Amino acid sequence: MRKITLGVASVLVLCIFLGSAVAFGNTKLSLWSGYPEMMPFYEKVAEDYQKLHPEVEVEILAYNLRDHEQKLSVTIPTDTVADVVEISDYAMRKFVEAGFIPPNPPDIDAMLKSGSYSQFAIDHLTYGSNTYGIPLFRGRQVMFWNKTMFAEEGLPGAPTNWDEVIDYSQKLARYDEQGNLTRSGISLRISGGGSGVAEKWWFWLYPAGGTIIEKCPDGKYRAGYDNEAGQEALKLYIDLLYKYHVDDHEIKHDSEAFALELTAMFTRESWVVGYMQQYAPDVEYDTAPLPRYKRAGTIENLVNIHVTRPCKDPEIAWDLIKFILQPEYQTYLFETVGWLPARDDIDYSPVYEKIPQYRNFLEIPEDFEFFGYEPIACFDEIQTKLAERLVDAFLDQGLVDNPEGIARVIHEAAEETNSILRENELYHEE
Amino acid sequence: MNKKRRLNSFYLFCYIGLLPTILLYVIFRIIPIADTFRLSFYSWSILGVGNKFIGLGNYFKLFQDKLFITALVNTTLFAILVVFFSVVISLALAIMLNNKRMERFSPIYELVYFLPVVTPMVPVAVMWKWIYDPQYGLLNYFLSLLGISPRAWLVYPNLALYAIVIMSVWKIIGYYMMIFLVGLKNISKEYYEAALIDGAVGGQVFRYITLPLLRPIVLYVLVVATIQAFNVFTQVYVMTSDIQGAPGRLVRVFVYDIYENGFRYFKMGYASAEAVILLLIVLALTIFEFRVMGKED
Repeated sequence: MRKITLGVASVLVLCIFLGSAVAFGNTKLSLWSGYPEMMPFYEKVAEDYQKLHPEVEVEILAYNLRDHEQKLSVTIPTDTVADVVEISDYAMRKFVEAGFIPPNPPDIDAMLKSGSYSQFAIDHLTYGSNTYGIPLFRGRQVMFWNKTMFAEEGLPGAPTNWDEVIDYSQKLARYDEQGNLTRSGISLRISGGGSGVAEKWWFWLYPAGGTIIEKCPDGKYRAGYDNEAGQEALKLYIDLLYKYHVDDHEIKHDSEAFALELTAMFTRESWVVGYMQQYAPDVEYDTAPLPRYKRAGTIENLVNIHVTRPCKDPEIAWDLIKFILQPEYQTYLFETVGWLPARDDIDYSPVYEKIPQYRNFLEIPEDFEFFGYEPIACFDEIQTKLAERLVDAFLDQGLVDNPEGIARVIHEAAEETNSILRENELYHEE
Repeated sequence: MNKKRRLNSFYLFCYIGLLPTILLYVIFRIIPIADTFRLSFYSWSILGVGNKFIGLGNYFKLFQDKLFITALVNTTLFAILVVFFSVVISLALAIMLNNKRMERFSPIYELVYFLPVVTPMVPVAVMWKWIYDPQYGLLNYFLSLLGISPRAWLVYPNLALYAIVIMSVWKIIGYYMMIFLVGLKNISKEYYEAALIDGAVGGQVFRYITLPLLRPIVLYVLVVATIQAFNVFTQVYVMTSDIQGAPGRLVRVFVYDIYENGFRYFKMGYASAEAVILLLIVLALTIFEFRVMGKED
């Protein structure tokens, strides 16, 4: 009797373990994002995907962008990264070149080249004869402007050129009795960590005729701002800060300032629309193309999604990605989070008919050019170090009406850019 | 013979008992330090591409790197200020709390001063970031009551480093105060009675009785404070790396430079060379402090 009881108990225990093994046989996919505001979107997509595929469990983690990039720097080379990773192409490039990221399977490669995405995207995701990753969303910059403040000053709309930027921001700035700025006429990115300061400066550098690095016919690069364009772009900041005092370091900046109505205008990406809906729904504002100068243009910064090397179920991971890229979720992304979806073959007009501020992200003037991060591994270092020099310069009142000083700052920064290119064997020798 | 055998087995027992700890120490401290030293002689990328031996190349490059020099200057200045003020203030607090008249209230004050020590650095740094906020910060509010216009404490180079020094001193004085208190309580009262009989008063008692007897404690605090100050990173990273902060050059410190070179630019060999220099500086300062403070009179 005792032996029978023991036998039955053993079989029961075995069944429980086997059952657990079957349950634990579910596929688990992990996804890492560098944009915490994307969490609601991913959660919705994961929930819908799991309804269709109950055997797949999707775990999503989102980090602040800089921390996300630095986390990847350790986890990708050690194959301890998540199965699916969302990251900009310039940040991923070094891993692609080092062979840590597998190329796209044929169906994803075909999807990328099917006409759903721009040639710009295809070029940026191509390395050698393969493509790596597929775009999920993109950053394009426009001018956000406060309609109430502009109407108070009798201004017709956002500035369309640099003269209007200077004129309007002087009219829109406000001061207290001691002369302290209480509302900036324009909110510039003049401090902060990472490379953002250099990126935002680029939006003024490009219309002036320059760029951060320019590609030469031999496929190598050199600093593209050690010229009149670079000096004019720096001079604009210095003049706005000190000559006209329409912005300064003491006042709040960026989206927070715009939501608190502490600034009349600033340049940023489409996610601000979702941010304003959430935090400042009563602020009357609109968007407009970036002001022109000698030319006009806006950045196109792709954020792509990849399946990583240690992923045990790449077919399922790519299936999840294809699910995310369906038109209904691209539209949902645009409407709820605000990042501009990367697919060009979807009609987003229902979204900007509901939310008109999105219109200027998609209806770009014909003469507007797109520029973006060069797909080279050292671009982040170039931009970060340039950002640090620019922050120094923006604190230097001595650069007002000082063309030699401005030229010196620009030249020294360009020398550093060129030395980084040289170190990476990418510098175009004259 | 029996006694010798017992002693040998006793020592063997001790060594075996210590072995796991020593092993952990070797694996997690000694080997990584040795490997960092090795990597400092290589051009070494995290990605494992193009890694090669370059001898002292990283070290020569470091001393031509303006960012490294800035980090060295900033960190040294930060360490001098933090060590000086934290030691002086914590010693003064300990002496005050050791007074007989403070006996009843001493535990409350000890708790109040020790609370910042046990609070994690990240929330403390976020809290101080708001205190220093140019528009809504408490500091600018209180200064405005005195007619002083608002300052961007974490943006201007002549303010940002000192703002972080103030916050760092505030956070650590409780810890050193407790150590000094223990030291003060361990000084026999007979010395003070003898000094009284000899006519010594106030400052003389402190200079000729308290300070010499407290020397080992002061040495310990100085060494620990120096090591901690040179390793400053978290508060700089949290307080100054936002949209409205002072990045890079302005409050660039050693460990931040190492972190950026290693994990942003992937130059592990270069970052390792920096880490070795940091180790050598702290080691040199520690030896110096032992030489100066460790002498027996």
